[in-house]
Amino acid sequence: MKKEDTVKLISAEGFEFVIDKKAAMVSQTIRNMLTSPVSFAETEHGEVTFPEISTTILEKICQYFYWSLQYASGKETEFHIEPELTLELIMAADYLHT
Amino acid sequence: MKRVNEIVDRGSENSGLKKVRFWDGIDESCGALDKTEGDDQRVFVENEGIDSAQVDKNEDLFRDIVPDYLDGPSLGSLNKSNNIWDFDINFDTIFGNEEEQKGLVFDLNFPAHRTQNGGTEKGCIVYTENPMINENRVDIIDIASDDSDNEVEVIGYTCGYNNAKGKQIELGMPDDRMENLSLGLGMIGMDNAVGESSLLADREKRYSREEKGKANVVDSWLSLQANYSIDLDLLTDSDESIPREDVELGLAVSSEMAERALRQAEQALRTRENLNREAWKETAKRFARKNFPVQDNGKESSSLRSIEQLGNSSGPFSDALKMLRERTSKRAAQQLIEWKPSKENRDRSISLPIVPSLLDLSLKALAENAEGIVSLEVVPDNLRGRLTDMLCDIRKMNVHIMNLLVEGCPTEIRIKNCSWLTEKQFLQTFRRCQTKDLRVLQLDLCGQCMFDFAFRDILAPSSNCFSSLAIVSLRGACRLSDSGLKDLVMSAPSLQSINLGQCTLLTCNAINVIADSLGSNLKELYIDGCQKINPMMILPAFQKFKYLEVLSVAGIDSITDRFVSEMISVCGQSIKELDLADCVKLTDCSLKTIGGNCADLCSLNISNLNNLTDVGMEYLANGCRSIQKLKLCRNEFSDEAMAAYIESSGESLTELLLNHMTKVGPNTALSLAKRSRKLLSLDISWCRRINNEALGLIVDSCSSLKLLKVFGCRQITDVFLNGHSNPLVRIIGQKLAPILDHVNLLEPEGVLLHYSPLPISMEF
Repeated sequence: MKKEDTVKLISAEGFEFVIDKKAAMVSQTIRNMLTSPVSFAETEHGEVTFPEISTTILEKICQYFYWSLQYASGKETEFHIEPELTLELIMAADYLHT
Repeated sequence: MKRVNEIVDRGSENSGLKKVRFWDGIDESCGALDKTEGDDQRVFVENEGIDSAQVDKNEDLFRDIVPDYLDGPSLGSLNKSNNIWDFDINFDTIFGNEEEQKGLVFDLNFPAHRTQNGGTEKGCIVYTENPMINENRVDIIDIASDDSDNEVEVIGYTCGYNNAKGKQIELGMPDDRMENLSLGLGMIGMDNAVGESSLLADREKRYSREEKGKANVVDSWLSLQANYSIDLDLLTDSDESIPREDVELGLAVSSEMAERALRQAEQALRTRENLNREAWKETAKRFARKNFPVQDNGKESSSLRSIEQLGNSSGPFSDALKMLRERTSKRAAQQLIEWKPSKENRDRSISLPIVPSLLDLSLKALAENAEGIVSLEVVPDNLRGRLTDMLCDIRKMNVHIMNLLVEGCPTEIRIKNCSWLTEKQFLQTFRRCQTKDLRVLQLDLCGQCMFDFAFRDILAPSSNCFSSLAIVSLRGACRLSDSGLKDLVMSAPSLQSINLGQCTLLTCNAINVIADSLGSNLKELYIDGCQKINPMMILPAFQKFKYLEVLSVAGIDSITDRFVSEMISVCGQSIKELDLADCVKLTDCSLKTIGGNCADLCSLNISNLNNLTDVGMEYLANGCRSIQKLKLCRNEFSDEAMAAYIESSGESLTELLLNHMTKVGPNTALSLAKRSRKLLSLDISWCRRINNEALGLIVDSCSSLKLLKVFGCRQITDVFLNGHSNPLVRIIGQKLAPILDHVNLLEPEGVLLHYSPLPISMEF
């Protein structure tokens, strides 16, 4: 993967998730950050930090991004969410507008 | 009493047909019957009592048969169907209880022959008499679901019947004997008797004809019975057998008896029909749609323009109308619509699936595991609201979640369905709730738990008060009376929005209380469905609602034009949303008032007001130029008027309901396509004049359109469904697509007041 096509998402604990830009754009918040005419610090480095989102949740979110791309292209599978993650996931999803 | 028949072999075997001696007429038929079937034929005279075991067994046999005979009360035997059934079961029996009534088919006039070993014979119960148990007559009982041909009504016979022919075996039935009638198979008598009688007579003919191969069974007597229902009260369960002498229910019916019976039957039928008609009229009233005649409003109506003058005055509406008319005179509107389905004719159902959002998915997962939630502390209000909505939808909302919601110092408690909540639970939960920060309290459908002293009980113990409560919704609090509401209002001085929809006990006193304590603070008031509120008596209270933004009086059919005009004169400047659905007395005068005073109106609902005409539409179009949500249903506006409205004032439309607007057609479609670019939701259910091309034009032009409802539009076909080019739109109402997913599609989240922010002092 070329550097220009990827984005780095950093969790509260410092874990870095490098994912496709296309996948990251599923989140409206990230999309706005990366495509807005105003230049955010994030756009320059291609890195976004989420101090409130823990690693497990951020990992699940990245999984969702890829699942969503797959779903949109026609392959409709089920996205399972472990019950213990749901509460935090809800709030992260709300924040990321995804 | 002459013995009707001699039952040859009572009781034991199971052999073939026993020849029984009847009096004349029947013998032949017996003979005739003999010829046809060799099967066992047993006739169980009811009086003999059929023991229940036997009955049960027979019931099974009968059950299969009954459906075959569902075509009318014509006796099964009259059907030219298989011979098999001609004798074996000579009449359909009615089993069990009333709900299982099927056809009543009687045929046999065989004498009873009781078989003790039961079971295998098929038999029929023969009734010659009115099986009245306690009286001498069978009452005609009307059974509500009355339209099946299979129900046969018992006709009452007088005892005169019994005095008929001398030939007839004594059929006089003293009451006590009748009481012992065992109607084990649920047969009703009189009909049968008559049926049998005529049947018998017919039967002879029939068989003879049938033998010739041209049985012609047209039993006029039976056809009269089409709508009768059976009174199963006549069923007695007695298993007692009646002494033999009393059992003469042989069907010794001569043709004269049949005629008499026929006459009586007709008479009874007529009486029955009259009774039925009365009953149907009463029932129909409950379901009928009210159609109020136009009221004469005296001087007000004279100031309205008449329909003929429509379009002759100045103003945007008239201009638009003139333009439309010119255009129509040159070419019909339908021809102006040039829309072709796009070349890529793909099946929409498989392309572009809508990906569920992570939020929805996680909410669903959380809701399903709701019992495991330990705390909702960190969850913000808007998500709490969505969670409880989903829990209410999947019916998992319970006290546990409610306790989580009231923990701490909540700011919002929104439960859209409290029907599961009992009084006790309500009190227990809310007594623990710290209500001082509560801003929004929504307890919809709380009829069960919201009793009058509810608020007094909650607030008293801990000297709680609703000091920050700004928005309260108690829809469906049907037990809440004026005093209960007073308790609430007195303890919530900062209320700005009160939703009391369907709180049917409230009267004008409640409104007066609200007006006195809240007055100009009140921004939103919903009193739809509160029928006891007399509009005229709350007018003084309305003088105090100067800044009212939202008013809903839907469903209160005593609302008149005068109320609307007085009310608008007070709050017309500020009113933004008005719901007048089902206030059927309103006329164009109200529209004139609204148009003249409510320039900022954003949302208007005038569904089911059939007295409104195009004249009113003109006032509306000229006055309210920024309506965003317009809800029309079953109104009488013409296509041109609707189109002119949209042309002139339809630019801001985001939500348009044209449900059942039968006159709406191509003109409207053209205007919508041209002007309403911001349209998000369109409902044209039951508008049959909008065809594929018109709808295609609308959908392709209104690029923001997200929701399209086309229920009942059979004229919309795949040409449109697969040919339109709007990628976003969801079409609901065709092809078995899910119809509830869209319900919250356009609802904004976390809405507090609809048209104003909450005052800063309340926001944290």
